[in-house]
Amino acid sequence: MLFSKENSSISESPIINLCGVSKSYKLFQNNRERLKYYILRLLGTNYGKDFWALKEINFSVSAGETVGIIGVNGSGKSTLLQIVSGILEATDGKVQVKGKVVSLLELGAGFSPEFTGRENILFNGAILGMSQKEIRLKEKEIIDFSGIEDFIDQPVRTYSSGMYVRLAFSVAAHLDASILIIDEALSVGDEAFVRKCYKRLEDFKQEGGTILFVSHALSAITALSDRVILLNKGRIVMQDIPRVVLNFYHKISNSTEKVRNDMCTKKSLEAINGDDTDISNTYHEAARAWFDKGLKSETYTSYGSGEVIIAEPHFCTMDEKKVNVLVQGDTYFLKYRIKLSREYNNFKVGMLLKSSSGIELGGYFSIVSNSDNTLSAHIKEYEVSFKFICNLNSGVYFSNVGVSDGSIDKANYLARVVDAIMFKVIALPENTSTGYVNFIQSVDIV
Amino acid sequence: MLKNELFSLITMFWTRRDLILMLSRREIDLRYKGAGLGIVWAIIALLVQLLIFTFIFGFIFKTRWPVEGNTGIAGYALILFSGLVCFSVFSETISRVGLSIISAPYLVKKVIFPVELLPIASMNAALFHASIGLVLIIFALVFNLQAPPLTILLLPFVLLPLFLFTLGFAWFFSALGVFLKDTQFLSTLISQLLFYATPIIYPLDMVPENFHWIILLNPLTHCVDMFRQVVLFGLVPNILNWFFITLVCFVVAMVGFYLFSRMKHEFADVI
Repeated sequence: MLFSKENSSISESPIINLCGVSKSYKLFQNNRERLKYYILRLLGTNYGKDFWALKEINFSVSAGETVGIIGVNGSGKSTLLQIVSGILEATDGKVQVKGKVVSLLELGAGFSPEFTGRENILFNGAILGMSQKEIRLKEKEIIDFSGIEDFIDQPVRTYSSGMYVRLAFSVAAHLDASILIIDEALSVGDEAFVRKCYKRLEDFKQEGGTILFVSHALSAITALSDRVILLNKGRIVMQDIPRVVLNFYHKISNSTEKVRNDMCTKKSLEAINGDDTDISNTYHEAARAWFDKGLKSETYTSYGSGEVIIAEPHFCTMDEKKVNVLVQGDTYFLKYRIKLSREYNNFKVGMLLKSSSGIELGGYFSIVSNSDNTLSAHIKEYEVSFKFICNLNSGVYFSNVGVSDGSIDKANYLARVVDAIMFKVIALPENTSTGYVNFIQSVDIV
Repeated sequence: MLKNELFSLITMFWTRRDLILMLSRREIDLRYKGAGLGIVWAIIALLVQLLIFTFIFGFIFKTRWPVEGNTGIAGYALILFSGLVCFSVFSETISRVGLSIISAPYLVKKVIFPVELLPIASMNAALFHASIGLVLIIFALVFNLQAPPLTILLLPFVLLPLFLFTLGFAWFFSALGVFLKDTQFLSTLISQLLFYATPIIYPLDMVPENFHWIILLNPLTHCVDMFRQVVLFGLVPNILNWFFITLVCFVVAMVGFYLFSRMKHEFADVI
């Protein structure tokens, strides 16, 4: 059985309990500083700068519960898992863990490249606490699960990274455990195998196993967790059901560090003051368009001949409020101003919305010309505004804007700004559309 | 704290014997993996060393070791060689152990693993090489038309203090090596000092009387001496002497283990 449970009784008492846990590291410029620190410490003096990776962590996990941990890079997620696993020692506070823990912190890192897959199964199993006999018994099962029996007697240095992970997960999956601790371990490997791994985790959960895991794959967090803990700068910002935490996380994940820290501090203070936002409140807050200063395109690139200047590209609401966090389904303007330094008979103004990976989702251009009388020769400044319904799904997007000359066949840019605006779209929780764009207004099943 | 740690260490020798064996095997395997002749190289190296000693000291210098018993032309060479083999358990372990933990970050940072086993594995690897040397000594004796003495059966007892002494240093240096790169230099230096403070290439009798105490204070002197007694000369070591040496070496091992236990909590922070 995979991750077979030692003891399948589910109880309400916490199986993992952390009380006021903090972790600090010493930071040193060089090795001489470090040596100085050790010598001074022997003499009972403290020396060197402390870096607090975790601060005052309190949480408990009941048996059978699955808890996801999220946070931006460097927020202390991995340190927390290492402390719960018993690999790192907390500088302060109390850590209690009951039951047999198996931690998958880095799959396959313990493999020796020169040894064959089979030898590595034996060795890895022994490291993770299996006896020779146990491993021999499970060897075939492990190899079958990994699906690489053809290569099992080859040195693992010849393996592809996918095969590596397959083998490593298979070994780990055959350990007896009541608590599983997983650090982003499943994000590698081919999709079929990733699915297989998640299936195992679901089974483990079904059997009453406790899981504590870190992932950047928010879909996995939503799918597996009963509860999500959000960490920022080593502190717990909030813990709640996945939807609530993820909504807040979406808000902060693309902000600049300062904005993020401010928001997190505010959020954790709310929790302390008992002013805990209930679910409807959170949605309400999330579903309002607003301007996030932290959301700023770092790839803003402007170019052109200089005869035309594009200024102030931005989004705004119907009542002219500047925003960059839009709510799905609402109507907005994309606005910018252009300044012309000479006369044109006609020109085109355009815009384009893109995904953060650069996929063009939709653009539009409009011809401005003398013949339509839309262009008067003596006016050199215009405000361009595109009115649109935001049908995008949740996510981060970018917008290009540009002005080109009137030639029909090819775009000859007079001025262009690539990644002019970075913006975010929040979908309503009941929205179930997938992909980038929601085309559907309603579904009838008759 | 130490009492618990010590207890868990002793139980671990038994409960995780599979793992210790596997770590030791791996340590040996890793060194020869990829080489076509593999372990044969270890045999060749030791054999060549023995032959060179025999030739140089037997035929060129015609050196004799002032001891009871006639060991023939190979006498001095064998006595020298056996001393080196015995000492190599210590020196080879110490030379490698400084990196044993720091080179296994996975075991320190990613899994819950009894890292105190790593120095033991290093010692076992050194022991493995020494046992090849021992087999060569026995062959050399037979070749010399001498039956290996029955006292060789006492070897496990004779080696016990050597193991304890080596482990003590191995634990200390492996832990220190995690924090300071300088350990490698320190351990090489200490190993060298101990080599010359042990009657391996010279007999104790050649040392001026007033320096004897230095040599006799070194537990390795007695380890090497007892090793030669049981393997070459067919003598049973003085039991009281053995007991006393073992006790001293046990203390060395415990001090090493204590220091290791004090330092190991911070391994994961530093690596």
